[in-house]
Amino acid sequence: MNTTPNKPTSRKRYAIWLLAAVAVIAGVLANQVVYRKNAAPSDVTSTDLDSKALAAEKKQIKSVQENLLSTALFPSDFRSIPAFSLTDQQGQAVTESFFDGQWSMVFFGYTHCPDICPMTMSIMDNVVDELAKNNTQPLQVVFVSVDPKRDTSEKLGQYMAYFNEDFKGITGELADVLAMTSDLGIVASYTTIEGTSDYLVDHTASMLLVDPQGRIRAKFNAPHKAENIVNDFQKIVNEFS
Amino acid sequence: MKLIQSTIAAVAITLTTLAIADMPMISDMKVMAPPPGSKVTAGFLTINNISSDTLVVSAVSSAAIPRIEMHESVVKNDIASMVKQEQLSIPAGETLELKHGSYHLMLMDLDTTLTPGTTLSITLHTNQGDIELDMPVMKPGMSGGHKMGHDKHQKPKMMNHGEEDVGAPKPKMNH
Repeated sequence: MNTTPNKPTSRKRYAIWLLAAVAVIAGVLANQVVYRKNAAPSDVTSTDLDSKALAAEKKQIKSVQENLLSTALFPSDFRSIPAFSLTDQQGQAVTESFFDGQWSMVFFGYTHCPDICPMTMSIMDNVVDELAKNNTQPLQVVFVSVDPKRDTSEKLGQYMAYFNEDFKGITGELADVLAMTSDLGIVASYTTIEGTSDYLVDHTASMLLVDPQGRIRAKFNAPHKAENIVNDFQKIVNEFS
Repeated sequence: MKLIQSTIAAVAITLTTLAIADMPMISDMKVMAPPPGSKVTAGFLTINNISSDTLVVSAVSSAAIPRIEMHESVVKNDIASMVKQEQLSIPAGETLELKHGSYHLMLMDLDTTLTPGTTLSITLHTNQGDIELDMPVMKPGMSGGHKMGHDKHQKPKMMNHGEEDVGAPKPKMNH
């Protein structure tokens, strides 16, 4: 058989181009379908989801932050209350589960503190009154003593009751307290008062807001003012509860 | 003779007035009743130096308190600390507020009970003489003391520093 290669006529060439074009379009469409399928939620990796949720949260935090007076918000994955083993003002053992189920405002101080600590507790007493008046979610006030040498459970009990019967005081072995505070970025340092055996404690002035899952959600900055704390806390719980 | 007498009287009155007028005016006094078990507490007051000289408070004492120092509460880089002041200088015509979160009297080694509603006698030792004050003892949340001590050196209160201004806790409302 003697055949000569078919020389495509111009008509045939047309048809081939058309087929090619159809193939390309079909391919693109098919690809899109596949892509869409891949994009279905069931196939999304958890990292994709996290990053999307985090981006949304970041946006939310930014908008809430603008309305806060003296508070810095943190993303939900910023930091959690670490595992700890301490004692409350009744002498009962407490662990990190102490923070579960309600919002808490945590202050780190000591009962021999003449100015900042009593002032802050007194302000927090006004804050919880105001929140109760406004029917806001309750806020547990927690005073962590960074001076366990002098602040026994008994002394803490008297101290907390002086400001508000519902306030919680936590203390424990110095090493256990410091393990917790250093994990949270809280500072405590001890200075002897000249000419006495007494000492003062320098300590972090801001308070940490812990959410019902034990996550640190905000830092309330000093100088503390009751009306600022009320405003900021209400904005935060409205948005993040 | 009558003229001389009345002139002398007028001069004497003027001198007395000047001497009294130059004494610093003290207001917004309060001593915080310490929480149970605490051996320290803080005292607050506002000193208006209306004289034409710098007023220097070099020491503070009280028969009832073993040790009183002048301190400043400082929050720097989010760390609260207290810095002892050897003296407080108030330039002529200026006012210094000893208030929460700032300058304050630090009452130490307390072995007496300071009961809200009572007063504590203290003395400010200054370069313009000693100033004796009866400072009202208050619970946290009670409003600042506007009542004057009854020392003859003190002028009636003329200033009105609201608690709001000093960032102190507001008086608790009854509701």
